Amino acid sequence: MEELFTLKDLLLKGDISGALVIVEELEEMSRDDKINNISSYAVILLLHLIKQQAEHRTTRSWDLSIRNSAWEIQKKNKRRKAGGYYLNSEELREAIEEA
Amino acid sequence: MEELFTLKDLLLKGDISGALVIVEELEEMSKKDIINNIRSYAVIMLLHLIKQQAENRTTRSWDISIRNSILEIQGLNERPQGDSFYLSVEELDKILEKAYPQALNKASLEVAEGVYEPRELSRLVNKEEIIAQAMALISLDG
Repeated sequence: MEELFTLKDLLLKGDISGALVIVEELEEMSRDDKINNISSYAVILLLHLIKQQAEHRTTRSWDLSIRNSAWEIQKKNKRRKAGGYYLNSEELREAIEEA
Repeated sequence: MEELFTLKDLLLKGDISGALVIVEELEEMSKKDIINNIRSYAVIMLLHLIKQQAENRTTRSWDISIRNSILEIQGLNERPQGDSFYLSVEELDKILEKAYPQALNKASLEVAEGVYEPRELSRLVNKEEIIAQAMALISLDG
């Protein structure tokens, strides 16, 4: 919210390059947010995949958790209007590695 | 996120008035977010004020719920420099009005072991008084 006030002031002063700096900061914040969100679902996804592999079995509840978290991650990563994705597969892999 | 991409495109094209439109949209979204967030705490606060008035008593747990929701609401409404607020008194009052029916619905499950329907409960308490009380509590300094 505060960044938006600063952004508005800069625009009213005609300071485009200053405004771009703020927009880039906002983009980064937004991206961090997305990554955090995705990694919390990645934890759930990996937890159940680890259980499957370690116990050589699965349950309906694990399957469901896996399906749901995969679906949430896909949904969070999809760009609404423009199509395409926010994070590329490298970035996604990094988020999952960290989880 | 999408808005930020649009904003960047507009800035790179030098379209300041177009960019201002987007910034205002973003401001509105941000404000809506603050309002929704405050409303959920307002529901908790009003729920306990309704219980206090309806049962003419209080408990430590209710007192704490009220106090914590006040702190959350104050925190959400305060700008980082601490010298001003995002929402005006009128806007806060509107949020409390909006939150009241939900608080009353929830209170109906709890007051007197849930014997009252929300409509019956609404006749046992004084909405104006409760909202005024809530407003006064939110306006108090930490």
